[in-house]
Amino acid sequence: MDEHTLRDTPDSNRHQPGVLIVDDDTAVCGVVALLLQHLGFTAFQAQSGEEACSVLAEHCAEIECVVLDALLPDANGTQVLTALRIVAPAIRVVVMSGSLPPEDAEEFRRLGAHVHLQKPFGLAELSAALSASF
Amino acid sequence: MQSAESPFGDLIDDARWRDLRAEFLAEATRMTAEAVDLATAASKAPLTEAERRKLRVLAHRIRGSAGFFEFEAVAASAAALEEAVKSGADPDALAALGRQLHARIEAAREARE
Repeated sequence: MDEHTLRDTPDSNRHQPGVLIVDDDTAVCGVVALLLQHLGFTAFQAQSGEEACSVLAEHCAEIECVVLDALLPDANGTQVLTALRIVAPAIRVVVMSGSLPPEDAEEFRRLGAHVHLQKPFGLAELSAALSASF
Repeated sequence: MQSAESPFGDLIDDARWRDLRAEFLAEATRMTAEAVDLATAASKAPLTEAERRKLRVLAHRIRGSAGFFEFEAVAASAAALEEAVKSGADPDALAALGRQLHARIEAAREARE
């Protein structure tokens, strides 16, 4: 864990669910990871759909939720979500986006994504979205 | 006025916040250069579908990320460019919006220095 981001961590015996952040912007991943760690989650990061599938496959026993950007360089979020479901069919997914057209929102819902997080968001919005998805 | 103080209080300390903002600006500068090239090229020849998607993705990324780091003017410019691409705006409009985005990124960088 990056020394910049060490905070008072919960009791190490407590289970810390893993959350995979999928966003090609490393700075945004950095912010969201810090917020997740504060909320008691273990944060994983991926910058593309392909990397997300790889990280999820490697850590599927630890990752319980994916926070997924709706638009990635290598694929649309719906394509990535479809691929992630092949790796982990029951994975919970929260979609984040600066703007999400209604038709895309509907497609995400059809694919079982739980909540749309509008960027930018803060700790309260992230916490509420994760609570709704778990 | 963009703040050098973290809006996340003690969740993200000021030094880390400044580092993340700098990281975003560096990446946004690179993406904006790419977006401006595409937007400018549109005035010379129609963009292919792949080029339009790339331009839209670049603008979308800058828009979403700029808001996180309190670069509201940059976010607004990127949003305008994204919407223009989606609505099929003419090449001159795309080029002008690209130049505006570039100017706002530069202003944000200068404000930090």
